[in-house]
Amino acid sequence: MTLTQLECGDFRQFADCYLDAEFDARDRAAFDAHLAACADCRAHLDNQIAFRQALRPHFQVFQREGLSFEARARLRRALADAERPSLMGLWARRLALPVPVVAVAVLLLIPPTVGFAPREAVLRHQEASPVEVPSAQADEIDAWFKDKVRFEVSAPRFRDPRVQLLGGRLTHVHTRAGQDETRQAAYLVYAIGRHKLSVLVFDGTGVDLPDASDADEGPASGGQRPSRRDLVLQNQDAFNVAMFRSGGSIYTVTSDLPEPKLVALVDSAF
Amino acid sequence: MLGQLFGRKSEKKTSHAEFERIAMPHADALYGAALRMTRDVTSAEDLVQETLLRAYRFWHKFEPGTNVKAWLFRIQTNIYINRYRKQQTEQQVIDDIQAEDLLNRYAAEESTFIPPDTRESFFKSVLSDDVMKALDALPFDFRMAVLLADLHEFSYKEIAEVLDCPVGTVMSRLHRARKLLQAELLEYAAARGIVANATAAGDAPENVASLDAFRRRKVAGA
Repeated sequence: MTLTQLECGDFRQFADCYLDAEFDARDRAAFDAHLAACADCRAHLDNQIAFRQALRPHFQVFQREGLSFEARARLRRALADAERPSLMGLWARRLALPVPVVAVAVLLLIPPTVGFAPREAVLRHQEASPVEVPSAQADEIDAWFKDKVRFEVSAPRFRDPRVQLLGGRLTHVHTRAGQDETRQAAYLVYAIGRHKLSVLVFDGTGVDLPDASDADEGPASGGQRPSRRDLVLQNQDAFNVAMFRSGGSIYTVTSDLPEPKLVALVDSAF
Repeated sequence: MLGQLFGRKSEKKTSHAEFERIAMPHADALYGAALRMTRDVTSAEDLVQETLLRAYRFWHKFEPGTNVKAWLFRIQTNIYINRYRKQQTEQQVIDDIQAEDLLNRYAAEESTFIPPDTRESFFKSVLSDDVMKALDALPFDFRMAVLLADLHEFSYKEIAEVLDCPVGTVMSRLHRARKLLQAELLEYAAARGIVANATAAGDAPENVASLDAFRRRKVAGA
């Protein structure tokens, strides 16, 4: 391959960089020199420039696709909700200074608690095991679990009519605090459109939910959400996991639904 | 202590006002990109809402003076990749195979060169719907590279940050994406009889590697 051919190959290979002004002055000068001497490459470049000029007005059309008035209003409401500090958050701030003292007291007076990782909920969510009690009736599901577990199970009743209860089964969850501990759990599965939603219920005695601050690592994580419940929400392996306590039990709700939808859904459950 | 408490509160308010002023003007741009990512209005609105809520929550992590638009796009792309794209993995594999087939064909035939005398009639025939359809037909990574460069005018470095890949990969994707886009538009025009079937212009087969490799080769050859 001659030097000229190599230069032509190089030019066409990097014509995009040249047109995108990504070259430094030295590279640009080298390309300009080649361009001045090579009619074929000039034709190639003209073709690329013509394409870009022709496509630009069509791309501008995409920029006119703005958020609808309704979507913008929803967004403003969501941001306003996010701004409102939760009651727990407010108290946490007011108690900011005495926290170390309280922490020592808690350590001395209260038996140690064990942690629960949302990964457990996601692992159960991803399992394809069949349900033991296939039913769309929450009462029927609650009754089935009554003589099988020692904690209260109340299958969430979602107000959204698209949420369909499919059934439930017994399972276990691992909680961790230095050593593994396994607890019996109720697993409930729902469908909403083409999304799956699963609920884990287990005895919450002595179990800590992840703290909002645990998730405060970056945009991909979660934290405490404005919600009617004291809801902890975390993003785990591309799933959203909402966690809350009710009647001595811990409930986790796992789905690939977008975070605001999942929070709204959990808030509407009873 | 009281001062500390009230101080925190006013800090929060400032942060909200800042967010409104600095981040919110990019909501429409995020939505435009979200539409091209999800190809669905409802999913795009959800994606933008989640992006801005997440950005608001982590606003304290944004470094003033850096490119807020690139930061927001990175959050949106992360959410999309983590959530929506996992549902479409199978389709993505098919897309990638088809893109590779197309690319091999066009790289071999060099069929995106339009003779100057037919250029005007060709470009007049291109419709925005065609461009949208051709863009939507690109695999996700290629589509994003074109959108970020040609619509949002991000630099290669910024695109690399948004897509979390090396600058060399951005160059390669952008080059291939534009070529596919051009080839697709030419096919539409050929189907309507506006241009003859793609013509070979005699370009050498292209294999975009890295600019550094090119510079090293030049230095070695000099």
